[in-house]
Amino acid sequence: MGTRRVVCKLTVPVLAILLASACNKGGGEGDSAGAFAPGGVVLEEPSWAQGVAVAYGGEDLDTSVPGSYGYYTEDGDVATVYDADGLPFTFKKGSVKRIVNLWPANTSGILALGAEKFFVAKLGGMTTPWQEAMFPAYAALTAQVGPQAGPANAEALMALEPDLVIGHPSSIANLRGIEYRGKKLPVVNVNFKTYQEMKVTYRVIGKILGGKVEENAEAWGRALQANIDRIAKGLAKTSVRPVVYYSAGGMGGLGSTMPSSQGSVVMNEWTGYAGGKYWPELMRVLRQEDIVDVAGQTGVNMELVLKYPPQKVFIGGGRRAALDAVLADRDGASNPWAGILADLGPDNVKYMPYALFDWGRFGAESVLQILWAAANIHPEVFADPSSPDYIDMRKETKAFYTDFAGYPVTDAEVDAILDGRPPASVGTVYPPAPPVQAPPRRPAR
Amino acid sequence: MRRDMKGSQSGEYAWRLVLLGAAVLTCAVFVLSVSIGIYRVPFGNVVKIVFAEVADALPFGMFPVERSWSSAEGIAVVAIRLPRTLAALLIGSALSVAGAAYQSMFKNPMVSPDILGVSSGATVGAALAILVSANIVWVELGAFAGGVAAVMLTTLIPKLIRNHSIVILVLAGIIVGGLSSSVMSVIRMVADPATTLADITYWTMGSLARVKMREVGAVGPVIVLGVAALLLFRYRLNVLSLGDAEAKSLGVNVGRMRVAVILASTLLTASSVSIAGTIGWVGLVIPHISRMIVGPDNKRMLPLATFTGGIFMMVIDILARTLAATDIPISVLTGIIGTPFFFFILLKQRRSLW
Repeated sequence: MGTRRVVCKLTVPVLAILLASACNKGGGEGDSAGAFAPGGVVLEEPSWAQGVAVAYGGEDLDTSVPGSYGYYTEDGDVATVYDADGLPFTFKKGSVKRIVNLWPANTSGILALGAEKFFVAKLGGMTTPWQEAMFPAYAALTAQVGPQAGPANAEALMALEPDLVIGHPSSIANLRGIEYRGKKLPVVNVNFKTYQEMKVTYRVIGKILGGKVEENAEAWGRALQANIDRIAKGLAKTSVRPVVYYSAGGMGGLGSTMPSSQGSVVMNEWTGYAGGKYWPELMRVLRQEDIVDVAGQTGVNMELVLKYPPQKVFIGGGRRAALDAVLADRDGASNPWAGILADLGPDNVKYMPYALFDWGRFGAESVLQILWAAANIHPEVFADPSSPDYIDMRKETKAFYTDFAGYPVTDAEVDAILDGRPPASVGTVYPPAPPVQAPPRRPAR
Repeated sequence: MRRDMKGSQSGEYAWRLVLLGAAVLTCAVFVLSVSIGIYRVPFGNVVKIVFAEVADALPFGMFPVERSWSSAEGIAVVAIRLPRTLAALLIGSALSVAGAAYQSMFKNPMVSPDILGVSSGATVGAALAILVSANIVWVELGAFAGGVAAVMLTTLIPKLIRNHSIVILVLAGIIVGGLSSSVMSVIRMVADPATTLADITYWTMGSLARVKMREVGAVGPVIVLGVAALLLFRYRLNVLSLGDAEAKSLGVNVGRMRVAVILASTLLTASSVSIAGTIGWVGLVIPHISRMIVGPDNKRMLPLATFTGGIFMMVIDILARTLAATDIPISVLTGIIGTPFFFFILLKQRRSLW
């Protein structure tokens, strides 16, 4: 009897200790309770992600190999540069004055390099409100080209008499084989998926257009590398790598993300450089399956998100409506995203900045995106003004648009950009994002 | 006119006049198609450019042509319009003749060349090739192989269940079409939304924007042979449309004839889909238009459908590349034009459709 009493007395504190220990560790696999804390507090890595190495980034591409992307030679006034298909584009230096771009993601890059005056047409329906504000001459172009996907209309392009058509594989596939007695359409493929390829792309465009554009292309590459190095220095102080989910919008709403094909996608890179782990890449490594298998346009498998919940959710593309719709439907049982976002809390769910392009996608603002991501993944290191590694996003944003876009943004405009809002909202009282709240609990039976 | 063409000598004369008119109109639309586009090329230069191409093909430089046009004009006419126009002519003829032959063989006016699953199979083949980022040649080969494989599967099902009736064959086509549709959904689901998904979607809408002379040269002979074969069968198709028993009593080997028609139609449709993607409505609507003009007699309807199909597709292609700065998908236009036209035909023919 006495022995039983002793065992009972010992069992209670032992269980309490085990329970507290489990809570501190964030529970078992897939259990998010207790793992998420408000911003400013260091998040613990969830147990299911601990020890899982995720690759991101890569070495500078070697452009000195003949035929490689970016390989450049010149002979007097005539220069040749190789595109992403490994095909040469030969031109007389300074002769390319009229360009057409067929890839929406690349428009922001070309504009930010200071090449606005070279455009002879704009991409139909793809001009962002901030492009209109910062580059009115581009926005005012009446000639339009398209579409975003599928083959371009070859004759419509020829009618614009461009010296160069810049595209990606989907839009220029039909233009490649057009040839008449040795003459071809002046086309280059500048497709890229990674920051290193993006650097080469800007360098190729800079080499072709020359002058200030070339200088800006080199400066952009240096700025990107400087920011990567700057963040790496701050990250040395923490070993925690929170799991980040990027929502690209699309048909799947918050469930649409960007698949990670063996790490080669900029979302995986900015997450990694900023001290996080990209959720789709983590799934690819952890489950030995590409997220493509569970994502696509229709959205990720929701049970996978529930089993492996992210710690940060960043919503891109100026898609406030996607989050608002989720939050409007508070019934956690029918809308698992509402429950997940409520658990995360407002400091871990962010709209991403959006101006010339979605900062998190394949645009020139990638330079800023790395800083923004670091400040939001590790606010304790990068968003605390008292920290030596503090990043003043407002200052950085102002400097970028002034230096590259040649547009001196005001404080109010910086706030709008960082909040993913259009220029029309500047100076007006914009309704704040709805607060993230826990879904109502079902009444106990 | 249709009543006038039945039997009598004057009817025969009218029929020949219609066929001649269709041939002349085909030539006129061909010239128009090569002459107009968003990039302006003076008509005189168009003629010179085309003539120079023909002259260069002749031996010993028999007809030297002085070049007074720019490279851009040459590109517009020779590298863009000529292959597209030829492809439109071939594809339009192929799909309409295949559709007319199927409608006769299945004794059903609602039948199109897709009934045995060739288009859906070809789309799966092309989509798989796009999914693995294959180049355009492999995409075209994939489409052709997919189309032929789908029809082979369709014709295998009646053999497996040992029932060779036409109804089972059509049901087998529906099974294969359904399977292809599901496979396409899986392909779309796993496709990269940023790259391959857009290409696959565009492929399913059909386009002549990627057609080059190489493709025309590759599928042209197949289409010409396929159309010629079905034109040769036009008398027997008349007999076949009377029913199996009557056809047999008149000495037609029904089984062999059916295989021959399916083979020719499959080659025609698969060839078309392989270079231009899925194109709807042509194989369904054009035979009806031809039937409205010359009646249901396949001896006259099939030759006329060869021309009307070509004319229709050339006009569609002109619209696709001139209406907007973007290249409008072919199926968008065939659908927009084809559906109300088909409704009009049904309205007009509601009492004597067949």
